[in-house]
Amino acid sequence: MYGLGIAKGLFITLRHLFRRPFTIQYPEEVRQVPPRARTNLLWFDERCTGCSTCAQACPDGCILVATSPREDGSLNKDRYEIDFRLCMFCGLCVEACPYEAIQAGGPFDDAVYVFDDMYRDKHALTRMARAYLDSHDYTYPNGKKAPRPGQLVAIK
Amino acid sequence: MDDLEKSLHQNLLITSVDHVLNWARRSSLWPATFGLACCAIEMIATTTPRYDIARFGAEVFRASPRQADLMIVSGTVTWKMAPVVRRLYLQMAEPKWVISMGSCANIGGPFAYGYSVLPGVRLVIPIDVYVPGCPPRPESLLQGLILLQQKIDRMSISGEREREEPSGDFSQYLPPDDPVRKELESLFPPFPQYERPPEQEKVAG
Repeated sequence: MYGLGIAKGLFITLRHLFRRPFTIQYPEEVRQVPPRARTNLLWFDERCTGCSTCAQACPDGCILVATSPREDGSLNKDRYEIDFRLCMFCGLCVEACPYEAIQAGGPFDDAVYVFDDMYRDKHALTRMARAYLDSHDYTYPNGKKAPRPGQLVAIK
Repeated sequence: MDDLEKSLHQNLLITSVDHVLNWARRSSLWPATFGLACCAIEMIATTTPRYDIARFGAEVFRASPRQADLMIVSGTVTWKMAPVVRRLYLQMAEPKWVISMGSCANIGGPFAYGYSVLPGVRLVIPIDVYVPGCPPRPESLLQGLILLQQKIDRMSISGEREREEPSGDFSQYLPPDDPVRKELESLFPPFPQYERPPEQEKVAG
């Protein structure tokens, strides 16, 4: 019958009119990403021992760790810096870290006006991690619980 | 800034004109259709209904730089491509803005120490917003666009642009007789005449 195809096509168009909107209104709502997605990195000071495994695993060499030994044998982290200008977010540092101190799953609002703002030192990274933990009920991106502020933990 | 300019900034007429102009400029940012590498795929994904860059009035990707306001440098810029990027930027009409998207455009990314890749597109064109990522997720690009809109909101017709102009000095990257360097330097003020190297004649047979 003539026109049946057109009617079928228009019916599909009509059906799409009544579907839920597809768009995610980004700044207001954020899409959930898969847990193993290669997103922005977060570094957690309380988990890091300063062993520099991440820096050795980094193919770009964008992680800088400088430590000095303490009396009890542990390491004091003098500097811990990630150069996000150079970082290619491959996640090899996440795989390498034996203490899960560096994890993917950070926020998306990382665009900057000034070039050197993308170079983040220990304090900037800690601010990012604190903001993440505050807004996520003190849960790490991998699902484990994080210590609350003021709570002392020993990481084995 | 002298006193006259300060009083101009507080002028009621100028601030109202600024308000209207900035509103018009920030809500119709038309990007140039211009993708260089894998970041371009994420840029295309940003225009899809899931993320919908049209919510910010920036969905009309113009095929000509002369109709575009915004250049999203998405991807690796090689030295051979650098004069082209600079020329496309010069062809855009003022006022124009640039977003540097991804680690490759920011500093060269994993090729930063290579011989063939420009270490940062900021050496060639002035950049307004940097978006880190490899490639950045569409959300990050949208965040960069929002930052750019906030920056346009602060603009004034009597003020200056708050961004760093490239110096046009490539002496630490390329040898002096390099044809790419000569072409690039001809695209910086005072725009000296650039003579192309003579093309080799085709040998018959």
